[in-house]
Amino acid sequence: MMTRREILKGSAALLAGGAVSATFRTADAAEKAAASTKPPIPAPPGGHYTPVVTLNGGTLPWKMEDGVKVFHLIAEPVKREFAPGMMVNCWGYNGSTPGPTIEAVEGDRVRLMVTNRLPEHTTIHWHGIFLPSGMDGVGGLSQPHIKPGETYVYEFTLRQHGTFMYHPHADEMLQVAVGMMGMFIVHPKNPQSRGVDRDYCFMLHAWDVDPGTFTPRPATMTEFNMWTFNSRVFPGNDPMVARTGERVRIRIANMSMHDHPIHLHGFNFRVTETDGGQVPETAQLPEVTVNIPVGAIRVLEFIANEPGDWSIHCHKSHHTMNAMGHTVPNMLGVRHSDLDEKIQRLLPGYMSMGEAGMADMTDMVAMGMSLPANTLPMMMGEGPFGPLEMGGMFTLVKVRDDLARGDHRDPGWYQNPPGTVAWKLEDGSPAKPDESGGHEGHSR
Amino acid sequence: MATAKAVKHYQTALLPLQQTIVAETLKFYNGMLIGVYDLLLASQSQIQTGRQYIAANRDFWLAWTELERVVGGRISLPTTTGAAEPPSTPPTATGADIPADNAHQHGDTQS
Repeated sequence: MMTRREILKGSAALLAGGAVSATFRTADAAEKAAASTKPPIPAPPGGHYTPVVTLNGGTLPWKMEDGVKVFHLIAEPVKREFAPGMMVNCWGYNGSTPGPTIEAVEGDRVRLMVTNRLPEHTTIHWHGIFLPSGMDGVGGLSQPHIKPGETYVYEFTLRQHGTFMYHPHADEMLQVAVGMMGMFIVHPKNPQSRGVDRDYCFMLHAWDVDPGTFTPRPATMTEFNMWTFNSRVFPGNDPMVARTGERVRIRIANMSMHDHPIHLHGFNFRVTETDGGQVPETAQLPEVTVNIPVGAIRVLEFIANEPGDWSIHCHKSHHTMNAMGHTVPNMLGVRHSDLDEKIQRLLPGYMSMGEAGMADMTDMVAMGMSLPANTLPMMMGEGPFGPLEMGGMFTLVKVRDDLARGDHRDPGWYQNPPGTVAWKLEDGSPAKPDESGGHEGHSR
Repeated sequence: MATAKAVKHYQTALLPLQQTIVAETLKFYNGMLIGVYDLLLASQSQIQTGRQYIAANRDFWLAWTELERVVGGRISLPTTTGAAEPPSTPPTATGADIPADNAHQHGDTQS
């Protein structure tokens, strides 16, 4: 029988002959920049907060005009790279989905100008923020719709602090489905309260992008196939980094139509805040997983007291996959690899999968098998010890002893101290391998 | 000439399309987006198209032979009829190797 590798070689030749050329397009420089994690905007003079870092995104710059913080959001179609190999036709703000994070301080007077460059009308609702009813952004109820080409002004005083969102409330079903969302962070006025060393935020969302296509289906209600942290999937997500011992805050908002139990490895955390405000200390349960309901925000805080590379992901395992077939026949334990040779006479590129599990998908990807255009493998990512077999809502918290304050760059893979990595049992002896050598992984 | 048009349509449109469908279906299978049965259905459909192509060729040549018999001798193949250009040689399947009689022989020709 042919080996998997030989089969794939044959398959490549076959496809070169007859296949439609892939219509895949790589991200241009601006699109790459939009999907990279930008440095936070430092607190202005007199400000006493740790600025928030938006995962694979950035903060919206503002200017002061007569004591008012003025922001300008532009609603427009954008192209978003979910991860290298997949571009999606989205709508967003200022060239990105999610839109840039708005950051202000309790007591600020804010003026938010919203220009509509979409092909249809829109509005913005400021989710969770106390404001006059006419600023609430529900099209037809609180205000007239913002028609294409028009600019509307929202202005109010921030009476509370906390973690909020913004999103359209006009053709909301479609506009949210294609990526219109952003976060709105209001720091407390009192610099003494709630200080952290690192402050991260991201939004959860779900999309239905048929394999081979580029535009999400807005009509899908439950059967999504792409699950994102800030409109990125693993391994497109940047890690959140911290220096050992630092206090870390992660603010997570759910814009999708599913709940997501977000699980952090390595630490326990407390939910200190929701989009409704601060949770009293006596009500903060120690947790390692927190369910983030639809249309809700949870803010986690923990002390990053153990260096390493720690996973953070949705615990619904299908949500840490990219596009996959949910109705494929169940081949687990069904002996059919002995039919490979016969089927290969009809289909030279064929290889049985799923008989002993689905990890053989990773081998196929590694050997360069063809997938539909603009489609990521269902499981991907390469770690220091092998394939990570993840996708979707998965990224890492990287804790290191030697990070500079405010350095958010990816420090590479963790170098495990000798003797601290699980080892393979050899010759029935549980003795550790050479302590000095060890398996320490390798740097990227 | 209708049979000649049919043969040409198989050659220029249907067979290449089936080849593309099978190649694209295999990509969906590779991504675990569909199962092996859907892949085999695509292959079956390709084989059926190949057999229909052969049948169309047969119909053409039967009609041609009948025409020659009626006019009482060999006539040259028309080449100026625009879209309808009949095969100048006896048919062989283009693209995938298509079985003439049944699918089981197909594999044997490749191994």
